Amino acid sequence: MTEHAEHDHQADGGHHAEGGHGDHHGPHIATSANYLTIFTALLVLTALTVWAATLEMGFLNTPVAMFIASVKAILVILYFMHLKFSPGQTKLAAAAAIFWLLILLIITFFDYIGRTWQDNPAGW
Amino acid sequence: MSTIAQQGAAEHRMPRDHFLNAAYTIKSWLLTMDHKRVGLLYLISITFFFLIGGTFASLIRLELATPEADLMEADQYNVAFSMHGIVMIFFFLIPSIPAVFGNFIMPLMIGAKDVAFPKLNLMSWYLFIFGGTFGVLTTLLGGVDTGWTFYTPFSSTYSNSNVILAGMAAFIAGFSSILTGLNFMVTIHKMRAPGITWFKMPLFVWGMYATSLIMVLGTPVIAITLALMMVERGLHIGIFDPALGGDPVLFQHLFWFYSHPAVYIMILPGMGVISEVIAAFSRKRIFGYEFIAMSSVSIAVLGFFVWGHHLFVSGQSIYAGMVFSFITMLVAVPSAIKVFNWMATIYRGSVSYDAPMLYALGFIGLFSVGGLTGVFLAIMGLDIHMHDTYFVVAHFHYVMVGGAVTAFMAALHFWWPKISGRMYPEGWSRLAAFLIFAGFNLTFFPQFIVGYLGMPRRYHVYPEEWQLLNIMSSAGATILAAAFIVPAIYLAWSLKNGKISGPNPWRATGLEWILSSPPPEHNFPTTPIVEEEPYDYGEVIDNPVHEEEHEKEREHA
Amino acid sequence: MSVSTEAAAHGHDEHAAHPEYMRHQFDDMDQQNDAASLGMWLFLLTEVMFFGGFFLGYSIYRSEYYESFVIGSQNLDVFLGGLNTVALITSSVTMAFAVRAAQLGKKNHVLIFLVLTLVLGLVFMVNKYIEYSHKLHDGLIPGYNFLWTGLGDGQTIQLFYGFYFCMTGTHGLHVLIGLVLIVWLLIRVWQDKFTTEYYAPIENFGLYWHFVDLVWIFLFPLLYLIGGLAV
Ligand code: HEM
Ligand SMILES: [Cu+2]
Repeated sequence: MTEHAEHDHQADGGHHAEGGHGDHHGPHIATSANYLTIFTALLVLTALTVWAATLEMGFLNTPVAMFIASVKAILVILYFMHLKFSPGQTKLAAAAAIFWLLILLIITFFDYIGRTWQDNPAGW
Repeated sequence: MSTIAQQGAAEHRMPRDHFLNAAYTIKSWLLTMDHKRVGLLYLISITFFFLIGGTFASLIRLELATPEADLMEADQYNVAFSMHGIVMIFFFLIPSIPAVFGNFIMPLMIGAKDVAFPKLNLMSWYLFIFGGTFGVLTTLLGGVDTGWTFYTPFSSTYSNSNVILAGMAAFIAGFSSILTGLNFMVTIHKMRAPGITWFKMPLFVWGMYATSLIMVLGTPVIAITLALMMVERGLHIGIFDPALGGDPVLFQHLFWFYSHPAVYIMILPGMGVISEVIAAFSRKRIFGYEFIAMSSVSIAVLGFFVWGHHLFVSGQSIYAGMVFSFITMLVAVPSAIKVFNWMATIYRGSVSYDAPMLYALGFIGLFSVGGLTGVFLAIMGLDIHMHDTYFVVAHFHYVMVGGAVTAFMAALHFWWPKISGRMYPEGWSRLAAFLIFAGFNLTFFPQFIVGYLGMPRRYHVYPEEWQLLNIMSSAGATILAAAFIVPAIYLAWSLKNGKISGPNPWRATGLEWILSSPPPEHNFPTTPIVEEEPYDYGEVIDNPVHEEEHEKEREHA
Repeated sequence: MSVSTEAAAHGHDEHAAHPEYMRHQFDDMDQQNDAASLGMWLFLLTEVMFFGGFFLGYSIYRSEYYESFVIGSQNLDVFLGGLNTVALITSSVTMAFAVRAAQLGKKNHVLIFLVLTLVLGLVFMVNKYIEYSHKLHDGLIPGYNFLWTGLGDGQTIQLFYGFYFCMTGTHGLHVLIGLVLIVWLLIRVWQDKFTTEYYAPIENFGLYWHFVDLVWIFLFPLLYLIGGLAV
């Protein structure tokens, strides 16, 4: 792998409309410690989900499991996928993914919940 | 009626080198990385599919000329309308303007050397052809009879036709569409030349952006829906079959989550074209640029909230139905905003009636009828009466043919000189535009009436008292079919014999028009820098045949 | 219209200066890298929507046939599922390190971490294979041969397995594709194709791999842990 000491990231920025170039800085290089912390957190959270599943929490079991999964997902997205350090348009793309997924899920569920001629869903 | 084509008296010469004569081998086309050539590959492919779809349409109208079943039995008729719908929607209309003109013109408009991912672009075309092969195979093996909607459990359990093949065809073509949308989004974000800020982009580019948004967000859902349907058909595990505990309404939710936004995939590019054409032939800056741009995006976004208007009588919750009904009517607002802005642009413009403009004017009228009848259908109470009648058929043909196909014809006539370097015969082109408009209305207007009277769609027989209206419709379809053949002939003719157009026969603004026609293989020798607003027609009115143009020509000759 | 076709004033005008990995349609590496990254994120967006269809179907039927889904779920091997979760999470972190090494231009580290990722991905696939063959053995593959002898409504339990196989199958396919891509990346790294300026393929593959991990993070509790675990 050829080594390029420093490349002229800033030098030639800003020539493409305002297309998100202005605020450009070099790639984000995370520290090893950062990755290892996240890794540990993910393992702990995995153990936590399994443990939580053994508890009797009634209808809360699924929301708790989903909550933990979401936290894990957010950690992966923000740190492993560097979203936290990415340009605005990348964040927008990620937000759009979540938003549209929710449209699909929530609006469809509205129908199922609102069907007065059917029994309410049996459970979670 | 004066036209710009009549005024342009100057003699032009073909440029010496351009993308068409850069290489002639088959390989140079099939392995091309040039967005312009990819656009033309699509143009040829979708013309082929338009022919197939049109053939099925003719069969349908032929059968419906009489109330009895004389040409086809019910089963064959089911195949005819299903194949017509599948081919026209997935293989003609969805790729039409985006894949042809989006590919050819959009990168030129933003001053880019190419789309962001040229290889991916070519791959999209191959995927399209691969999917299309499945489509052709389906046809050859006897077709499919589920309708373009593939509703379960008929498609997954009861149909005895080639459902899997047809499903695969749409599935694969879907990936082509996803990749095109992705490519365009990145291109528009990242490849704009200096000076072309978001609000200086031509409105066609905005249209492409909004369309791509839907392609990227919606198409994966239809892919998974079709996949689940095919799994169900293969394994019968009850995903959508109520007899096995499944829920067919879920299929409809998933299907329309894509397919309602997909109708905007078909119309948004058309609206983009119309904005370009109206401004160019009114010689005026487009009225309400920001509103038109933003309405495209808001149509794309709002379009994802209304799919339930296809499920009013499917057993959907009435509360959901009420909300869907309301939001559906809201979507008409941004559509109307566009129409008003186009009208305001034409108002007091110096209008010339070349073929593209004739199509654009037709578009405004026909799309308005289609959109307004959509609002009728969005009213739940009314839709219980109209659902699955010819009223719906007329509604969507007004938007899809009167709107989208008309816009496609406008685009074809507007950019044909750019693509080929030649003009088509003016008289013929205007005649064809009139014929298409007349034939179209004769075909589909009676369907509003017969649908309102209660004629259901998708039947091959009907009571005698509706024959007159159906005959009118079939007669109109004959005119329409003939009218579509006319442009095919004169455009082909013009390739050799047309008058040489020069770089900018319409004296239009926009980066694509400063290039030679046909454009050079490498679009811009150096990245252009743009300073002025789009649609800067101010000076052009005072000075119709002006110096500037000639200068440009000499530069590029 | 007065458009100047002068070259935009920017860094290197010399065309000769362009490295071979820079594609002709771009003006500079910055633009190329940004485009590739945005393209990858948009691709992941489509993946989210793709899996979204599964998740929707799964949730609807799960709420409708909760009992059956619980029974079906309790027949899955939580240990293997958990092990796979750990395997994928670990592979995600090794992938992150591979990208980091690429950013720093440390070829050997890139190779090591990519190989580790590959191995962990293989572990995942082997586990899945074991799980699937158990199901095959027990006659739990949905379709005409589905056989349910236990308590509960076999028909809707089959539906659970239908979703189980569709979702984990599609996910597994993504892992498999990922493994092929890692091999391809390894070759490219080996051949010194990347520099600290050009490592976008590694980085964007990393995004893909993390996404595959993300899907599993949701699949695991949804499929394996429904209705609580009996201890
Ligand atoms: C102004 C906005 C629009 C509104 C309010 C609207 C409303 C509706 C409604 C309520 C239906 C359902 C009718 C029924 O099945 O009972 C419908 C069907 C349909 N619309 Fe529209 N629409 C609009 C624009 C469009 C556009 C622009 C297109 C296409 C370019 C389109 C294409 C279709 C198609 C294809 C169907 C029928 C699908 C089928 O059942 O096969 N609509 N529309
Ligand atoms: Cu709709």
